[in-house]
Amino acid sequence: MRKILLVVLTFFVFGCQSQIGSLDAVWEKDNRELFNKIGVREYSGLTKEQAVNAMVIAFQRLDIIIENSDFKTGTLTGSATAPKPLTYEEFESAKAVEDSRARQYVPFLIWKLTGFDSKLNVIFLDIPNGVQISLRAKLNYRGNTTDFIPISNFPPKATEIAIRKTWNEFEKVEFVQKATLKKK
Amino acid sequence: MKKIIYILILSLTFFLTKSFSQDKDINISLKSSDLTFGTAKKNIKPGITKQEEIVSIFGSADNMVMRDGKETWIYDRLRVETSTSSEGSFVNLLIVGSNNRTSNISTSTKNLTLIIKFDAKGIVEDFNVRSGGY
Repeated sequence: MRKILLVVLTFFVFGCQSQIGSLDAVWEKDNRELFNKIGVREYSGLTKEQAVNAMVIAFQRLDIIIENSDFKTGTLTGSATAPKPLTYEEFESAKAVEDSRARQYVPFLIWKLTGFDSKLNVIFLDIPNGVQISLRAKLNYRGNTTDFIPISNFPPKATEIAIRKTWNEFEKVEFVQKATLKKK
Repeated sequence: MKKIIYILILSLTFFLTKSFSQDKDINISLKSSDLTFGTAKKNIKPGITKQEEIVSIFGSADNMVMRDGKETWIYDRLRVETSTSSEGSFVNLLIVGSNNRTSNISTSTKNLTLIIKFDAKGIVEDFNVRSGGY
């Protein structure tokens, strides 16, 4: 009897793991497309330094903690407790969109955000007369992964909201800075 | 016996009837927003409008920058729109029921940023408006 239970439990655990792996892969593929499509923008009349500075302020306004920033190489990384940069309300709306499809891969899916961090990184590239900015984001689980199988990608709808929200904040900061900062 | 037949017919009717319902609620919550692109364009006249008039129309500024004795006021207003829609089916067989309901919540946020630059006398020199959202 014990042996049967052990076999069933093993199959269940490995089954769940492969299901979550499949869902994570689907979300990763969708997110890659989203980042390529709406996660890259070009701004003219803006230097790399100005763009990095504006994005640093935008990150702060979105409650993202800056981990590393270098305007010379044009990199910026930050992290926040999930679901930030989304609000809980925004995450709920993303969950409502993604839930039924996610359950096709993981029928017993538990939407649990505790222990997850959002990791964001931004690359700034010099282009003629401006700068190109690209965004990327992933989820990172802080806790023990032996008793919990974490996912490493945002649900695509949440990714879409996060990208649009970050651009909006960046453009707002850039707009205010342009109007208020003293020209050198 | 009649009662049993009646209950059976009623249950059968419920079982065969798959009812779908659709609700749509649109809830718009405004957060301190009398400020629109139109009201800004209509009410702010460079070289004419004074600070007091700006305060009476739009309220206090959210941010202020002072440089060379000239003030710049910044208004940053947010508007959150939440809409929910739900769709569901209900299947009932005697006392065993199953309710399958899916709902969609979508939120959209729109924001308007207004920057007004005043001269040393407190009269509007220039203004810029940006509307954005996600």
